[in-house]
Amino acid sequence: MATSNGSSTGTKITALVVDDDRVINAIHCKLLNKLGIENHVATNGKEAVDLHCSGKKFDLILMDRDMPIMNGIEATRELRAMGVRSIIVGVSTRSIKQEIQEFMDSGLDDYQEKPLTSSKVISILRKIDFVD
Amino acid sequence: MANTPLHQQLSIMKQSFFDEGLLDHEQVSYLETLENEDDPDFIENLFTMFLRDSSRYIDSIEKALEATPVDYSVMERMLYQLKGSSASIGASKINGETNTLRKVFHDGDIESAKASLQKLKEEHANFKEKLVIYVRMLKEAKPSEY
Repeated sequence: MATSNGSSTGTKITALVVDDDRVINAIHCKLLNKLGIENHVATNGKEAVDLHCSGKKFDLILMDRDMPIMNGIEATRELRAMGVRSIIVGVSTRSIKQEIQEFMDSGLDDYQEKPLTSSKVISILRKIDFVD
Repeated sequence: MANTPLHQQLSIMKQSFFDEGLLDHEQVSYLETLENEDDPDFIENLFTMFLRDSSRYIDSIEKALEATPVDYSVMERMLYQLKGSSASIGASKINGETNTLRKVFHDGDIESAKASLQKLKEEHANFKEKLVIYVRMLKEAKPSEY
């Protein structure tokens, strides 16, 4: 189970949920909250990039693929080009290998199909040594 | 949870959603675990949000499909939106019809896509009619604050 200490300094894990669907955002924020993760929301890729430009940092970014203004592929490329080293997990309904690979190639650390569950998030956090 | 007639009605109604394949038992059970004292209206709000947003997505899909030429980018985006949010709340039949429409649309058969959209609209209307009643009953079943 996730702890609220994300690092040796004892600070909470922070996450950014990037999705233009309100239902998805509500569910993902709720499940992150239940795992003790402090979460923020961006409703498209540009908002996510702008948040980082303003100096915000997150341990984990859950990035939807299909969004208006700036999609997840463009946003991920942009964030990596800016030097953002957060764990970025692509979250989408796409299941075709080629499409998933295209998203992964933009700079993702992992890809999960919607809907996310607590166990999927915990497995992501385990990979980055945030939980036991 | 109290075992009043209203709660019993709610249980029966919820079970009928599962039996009719309108809602996925596992996904709804999972969503219920996310509800807590700090946000006791989480499920009702989620269902209400889904009904509003899915209606909007379906309207956009219809307009995009009726446009000349068909607005492919709007279709793609709205179909993926609807697929994702319906899966997330466990709206199985809507998710199924959305996937059918996606497949037909990707096959390039616009007339079949229009027919598939009508099926999706019927499923959505049926689901909405029942879920609105369920949400109303959920609200009534909540203990009074005073």
